[in-house]
Amino acid sequence: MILALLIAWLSVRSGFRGGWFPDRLTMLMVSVPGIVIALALIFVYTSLPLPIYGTIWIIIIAQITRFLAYSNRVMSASYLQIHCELEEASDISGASWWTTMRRIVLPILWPAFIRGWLWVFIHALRDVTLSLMLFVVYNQTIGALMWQLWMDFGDYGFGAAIAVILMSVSLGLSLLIARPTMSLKAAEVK
Amino acid sequence: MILLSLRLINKTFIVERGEVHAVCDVSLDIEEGEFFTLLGPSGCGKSTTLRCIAGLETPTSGEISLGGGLVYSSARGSVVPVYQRDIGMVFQSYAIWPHMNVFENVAYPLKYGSSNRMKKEEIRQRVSDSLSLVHLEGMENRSATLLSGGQQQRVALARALVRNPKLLLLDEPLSNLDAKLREEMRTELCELVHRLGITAVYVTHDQLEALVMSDRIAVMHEGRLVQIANSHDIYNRPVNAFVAGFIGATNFLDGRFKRDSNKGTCGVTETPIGTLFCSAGAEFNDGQVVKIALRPETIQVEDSKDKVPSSPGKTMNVFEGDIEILDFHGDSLVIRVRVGEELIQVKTDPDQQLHVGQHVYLVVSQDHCQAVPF
Repeated sequence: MILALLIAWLSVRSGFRGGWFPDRLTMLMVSVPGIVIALALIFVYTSLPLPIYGTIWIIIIAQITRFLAYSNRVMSASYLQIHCELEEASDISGASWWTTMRRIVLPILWPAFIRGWLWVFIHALRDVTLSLMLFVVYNQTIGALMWQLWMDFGDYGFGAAIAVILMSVSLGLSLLIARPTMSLKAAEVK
Repeated sequence: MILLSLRLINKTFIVERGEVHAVCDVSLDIEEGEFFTLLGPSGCGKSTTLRCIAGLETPTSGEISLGGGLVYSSARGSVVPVYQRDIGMVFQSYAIWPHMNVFENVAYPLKYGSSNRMKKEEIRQRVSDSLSLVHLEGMENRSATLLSGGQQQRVALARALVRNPKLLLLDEPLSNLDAKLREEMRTELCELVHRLGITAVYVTHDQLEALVMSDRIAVMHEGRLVQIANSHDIYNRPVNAFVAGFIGATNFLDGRFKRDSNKGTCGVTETPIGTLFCSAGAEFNDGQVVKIALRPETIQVEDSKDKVPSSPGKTMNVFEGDIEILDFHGDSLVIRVRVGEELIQVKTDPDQQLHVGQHVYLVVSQDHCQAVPF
């Protein structure tokens, strides 16, 4: 989500020439099937001297790659609604770019940020395609585990039990997203 | 002492179809403690000029210095970023941060500004001082979203003043307020700025605000400075028809100028409604085609020729016509009088007994007939 926020800033506010480019790039990902992304990642990270293949990180990177488009849409749409004078007032007050982001932009975007995060989280949670392609023994995800229980071990009972837990978590979080902004804010402040 | 100076500032925006030259060769010097206004219709480049001073926009070329130090120079390629310039600014939308209360809004420049870190106690003191300047004592804990337009305006002002900046920039701060509040805030803002002795650059399209508040006014038109002068001279001695027409209602008469050889600033002009005695700067030549600017409130209306006053030492112009339109404005009576081919607007005393179709005599002194370049 932080990456999505940065990309949103690049395309909406920065005014850099070509600031729109990462934004369009993330959209390309929507058109690519999960299997293709997974294969691409395997090829890239087995040939790079980066020791992440076979760890949980490769799955995280895969999920980020895949859901960046969605989270970026959410952040861009919300960012467009912030009046640019709100940020300029912070600049004038003597705050650096980073302080402005942290103290002004992020708090105002916070509800959207949290919703976007939950949305991505739920989708990543129930993902099978990417995990199946990328998992080894050490970095199993819930989706991949269920698949294994079902297809390889035939342990339908255990698989179904996990599925029920997964569904209730997703359902709970989905309902949280659907709540009106005010109560969501209140829930976060506690 | 000169606090702010702009040298040949240009700003060009690149848009889809080519370029827009928003600011052209603007040069001006602003004295310390001065209330300086940039005035002009929307799109004249006044806001862009202000944003260049603030550092929110980088000019395409030119030089800006603030308090003796260069903050922008295209020749040297140096730019001081906005957050390192010692300025306060009030925005048209107020730009009050909705997720903070009044205290946090006003304290923000002290907490996160690039200046030295301050003790909590000192911040509290300065915020409360700043709030009392704008008459919002004790409102620290009010949520920013629960403020009225006028209160938001005051918070924005308190926030701009809390660091005691060298320069205060105001970008149409009153244009979002209703008419009555605007008048109140205008007086208050003006009084506050003068009391603190702070230098202010004010941007507005409202000519009345500009005339009332400013020490000096710069009128801008299509990205260029047209005239810089005090309120009195802007109103009474406009340099061209644009300034005369933009500042207040004005009647224009076309004419050919002829200088009166005895008196330096006087002349006569042949106009469609006869020969007019007018005043004109030294730059006008005999035979030059000019416009005569006539303010509606400087024209006197009389219902018979006998009443036309003869004031010694002043040359009066008199012409006659019939009232065509009559509008009662409460504090004044605005009439339009047909004189020959021309329709002359006159603002007069509302108690005067006049009616449509009446034959009247219009009297205006030579001083109030200002020749401006065509």
